[in-house]
Amino acid sequence: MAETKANPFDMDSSNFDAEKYLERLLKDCSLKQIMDTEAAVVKDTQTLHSDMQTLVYENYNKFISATDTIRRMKDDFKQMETDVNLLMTKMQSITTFSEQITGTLQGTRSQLCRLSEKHSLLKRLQFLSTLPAKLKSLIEEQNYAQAVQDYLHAQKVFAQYGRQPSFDGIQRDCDAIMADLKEQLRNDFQRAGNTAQSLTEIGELLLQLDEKTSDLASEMLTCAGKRLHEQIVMLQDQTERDMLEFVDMGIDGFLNDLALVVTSYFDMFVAKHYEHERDDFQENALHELNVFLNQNIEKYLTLVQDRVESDIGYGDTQVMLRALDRLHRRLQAMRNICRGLEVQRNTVSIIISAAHQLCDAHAKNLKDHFADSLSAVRLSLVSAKSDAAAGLNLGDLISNLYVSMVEKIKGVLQDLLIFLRTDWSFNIKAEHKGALCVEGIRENLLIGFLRHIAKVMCGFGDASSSSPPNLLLVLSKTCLELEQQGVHILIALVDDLYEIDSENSATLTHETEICAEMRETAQALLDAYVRLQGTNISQMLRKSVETRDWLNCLEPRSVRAVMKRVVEELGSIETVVASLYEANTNAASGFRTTASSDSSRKTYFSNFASTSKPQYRSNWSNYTPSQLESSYVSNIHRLFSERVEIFTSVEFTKASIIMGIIKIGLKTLLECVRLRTFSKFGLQQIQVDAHYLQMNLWRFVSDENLVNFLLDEILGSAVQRCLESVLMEPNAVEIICERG
Amino acid sequence: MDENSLIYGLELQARALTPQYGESNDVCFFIATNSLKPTNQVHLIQYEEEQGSVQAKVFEHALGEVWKLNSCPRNSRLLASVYNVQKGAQVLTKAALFTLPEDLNPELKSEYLPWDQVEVLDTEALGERVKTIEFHPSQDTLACVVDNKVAVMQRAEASTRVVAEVPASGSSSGSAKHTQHFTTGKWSHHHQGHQFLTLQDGNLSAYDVRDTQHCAWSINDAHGQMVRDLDCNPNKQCHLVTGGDDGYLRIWDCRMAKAPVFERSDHSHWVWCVRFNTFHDQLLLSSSSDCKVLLTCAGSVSSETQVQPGLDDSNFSGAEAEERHKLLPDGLLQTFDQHEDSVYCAEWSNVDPWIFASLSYDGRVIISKVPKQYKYQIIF
Repeated sequence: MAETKANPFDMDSSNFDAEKYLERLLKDCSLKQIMDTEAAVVKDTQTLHSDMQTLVYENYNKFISATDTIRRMKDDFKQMETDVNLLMTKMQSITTFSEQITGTLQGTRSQLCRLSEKHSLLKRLQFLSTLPAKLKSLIEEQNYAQAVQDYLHAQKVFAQYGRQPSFDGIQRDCDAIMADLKEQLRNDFQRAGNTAQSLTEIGELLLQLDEKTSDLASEMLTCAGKRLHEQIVMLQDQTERDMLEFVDMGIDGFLNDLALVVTSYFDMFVAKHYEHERDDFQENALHELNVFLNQNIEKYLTLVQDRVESDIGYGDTQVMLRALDRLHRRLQAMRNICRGLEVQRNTVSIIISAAHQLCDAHAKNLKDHFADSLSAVRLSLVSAKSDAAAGLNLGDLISNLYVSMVEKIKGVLQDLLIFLRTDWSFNIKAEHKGALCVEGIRENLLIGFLRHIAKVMCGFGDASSSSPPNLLLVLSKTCLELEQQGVHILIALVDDLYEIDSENSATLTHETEICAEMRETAQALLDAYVRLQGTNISQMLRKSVETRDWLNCLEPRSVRAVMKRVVEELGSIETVVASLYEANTNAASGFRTTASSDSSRKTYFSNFASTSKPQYRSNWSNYTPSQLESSYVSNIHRLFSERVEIFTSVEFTKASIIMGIIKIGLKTLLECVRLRTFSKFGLQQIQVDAHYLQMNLWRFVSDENLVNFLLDEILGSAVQRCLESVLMEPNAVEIICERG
Repeated sequence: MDENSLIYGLELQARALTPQYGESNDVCFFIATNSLKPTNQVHLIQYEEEQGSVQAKVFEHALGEVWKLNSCPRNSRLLASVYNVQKGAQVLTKAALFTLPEDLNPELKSEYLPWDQVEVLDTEALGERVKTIEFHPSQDTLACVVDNKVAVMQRAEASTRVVAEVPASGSSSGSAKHTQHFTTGKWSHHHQGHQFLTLQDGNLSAYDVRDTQHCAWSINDAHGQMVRDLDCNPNKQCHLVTGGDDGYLRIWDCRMAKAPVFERSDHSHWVWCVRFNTFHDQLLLSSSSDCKVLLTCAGSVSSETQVQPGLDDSNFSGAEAEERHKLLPDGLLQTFDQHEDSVYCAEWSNVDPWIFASLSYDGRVIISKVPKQYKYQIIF
């Protein structure tokens, strides 16, 4: 263990055990070796010993020298201490000297300060003393801005030294001058003649002169208001200028001034903050400005609107719209300038109302034009003497009336289209009101006018109005044309031009409604025509029956003149009607007109020879006196025949129209005959007349059986009303009738 | 035919029909024939509602063909007729009063019942053509329309006084003279019976009979053409109805002569006869030469419009009243087209407000009733 811990055999280690080392040496080594070891150990011991001696010697020397050094240091420090003490005393003396110097210099320095202060003060005093004169000269030069600047400068001084009596005078002078100036400025401000620009400048000066802001603000608005009002008045007088010039003047004068006032007011009162004003001053000022702006815009636009209203329908719409467009652009720009301000009134509403008005004006024009053309038609109908000529004219009249009406409406529609031009800065259709307005063009203008036409025409058909019969015919045909073409063309045109989707709109009037109205009107007018002509014929027949003495007449030698006149009248009516309705009856009438008078007789005789046509029987010529005795005969016949409606609607064909007239005439004849008493010859005269009618009426109608039936009834009634019912020989009747 | 109507046929043409105004129990009408054959007849028909039959008494009208009949409202036995007689080469229209016998069911000795009394009125001094003889509704007075004159005959004093005369126009030519003639006339139910209404061509004039030539008011050109007939609203002053050659039926307020207060044009030819229902004056009966008889409602201008709302308010809730009023709208209610010829006369019964008779030229009398639905709507 010892060996592991420390080698006991190492002489250099502290654990060296000499005994063990010797023991081992002795044990292990040979003598020689032991000898050598001994020698070696001795040698080492000697070496070591000498080394030790050297070391001790050396260290001793060093210690000695260190001790010497410390001793020397001690001496040096002592010397230094004395030096420092000396320095201290010297410094103390310096301090005292310096204090002495400062004390002596103090007085002079404060004096210098005072002197420089006095200098500047004196300078200011000089400024002040010259101020009144300077201000005066500045004011004389009208350099108000500089004067105000200077005064404000002085103001501060006065504020500081105002109590001193010497300044008091100057201040009073200045104040007086400035008061004058203020007064002058104020006067200037209120004087109506200056421009908005100078108004702004003066306003700013006054503001600097400590004018009460709120007062000034309101005063500014009043003054500006007055001036703007003057401009409005001036504009009002410009009636002889055209719309474009008028609007230009308004823009250059009124609107520019207004914009200037508004912007300067905005800058002066709204954008800046004033401490001595109440917190809500700015808000109020903005509100005031808004009110002011809107009032003036309102005034101006009212003026414009008045102008538009008085001009519309007279001047050139295009010029007016260009002017309004310009105005619209300007106002739009103005709206952008004045942010935070709202211009309530819109030019578009003026334009829309102008459009409305123009619509109304056009509607009135159309109505006037329509009334004019109607009276023209009426006049030409009244003045046209010959019926044949009138017949030819009728077609022309209708086409004139129709074409001029349609063209006029088309023109108006085109004219109004100007409001929708895409190069305008406004878009009417974008606004609800505008869209309504555009629909109004369709509804009020076109549909309204068409309805007006129908209504006015209907008025002519009234029994009370005494219109010439041909007028009714013309109007009826015109309505029919409108119904068949015009309405469709016009409504399609308006829908197309104004891009109105009428098919899918619930509120817009549908084309068919108007067509139906037109058709109704046409029918009513045609019925009125038939009634009127029927009545004319009736009157002739009635008078002729009522005034003749049927008991004392001679044997008939000829057809009575009235019957010929009736036939003539019907002939001329037919000519007139045929000129308008020929086309509708082409097939039937073409066939009829080729038939000769022979064929008429043939049908006439075949009628009572055959019973193939059961509805209206012709039986009177078969009467024997014994048959005539029995009134039942006609009653029985009547049982099997159709009832004849007299005053009924007719169709739009020539035959139907003429038949309607004939029916009314013959029925009248029947009723009149029943009121009279006839002698033999009276009856025979009726027989002749009836035969004449029978011979002549067939060519007017499509259903001659109906005519024959009515004539049978007439003759039957005459037989009943006859004291001695003896009829003429049919041959004799025919001879008389053919003789005419 | 309609269960509502009953037909009675005459053998001859007829243009005269009148209810027996003096009769207050039975529905009776007089009808007279208008034929040139020798014997014209006057039929007194009595409608038996229970049996649905007609009892007829036939009298002879030997004087001539009858154009107009009127019965006296205060004497059920008195009847006036206007008839034609032939005098040489002229036809005169004259008038006579007939008195029915007391006993209407004697043992028949002949075809016809005898008249108790026949009195031909002396009208020749007035003119050639008598248009109508009108019994005054409350006095023993007759109004006689002859040619261009209206004369009032006081029966008691046997005096005749011309109260109105249209002056003959300057030219005495036939046509000019004719247009000046009155066509018919009628007593006004109001104005204490002092007014007599006349028709003349297209004009309607009212004359005050206390004076001569005193025209109280007039409506000119009422129908554009000839006015054929008129009737007064018995329950509403100043309202009267006219019918004319234009086929219109118009109700006028005589205080406003400018325009009618109500008009319809349902007929397709001349209107020959118009009558207000005596009890329910919103019902109008009109006949025309278009062979039709029309029942028209003119509730908006009837006397019952003013009365009914008050009653309704007390008896019914508003909604019910409203509904009731809607039930009978103005306009055409019913068309009766059983006639085969022109219907010149139609008359309400004076006894039963729901029955009326109409007469066509062929001699067919039809007694009809107002259809039940309308009747109930009016009653309840």
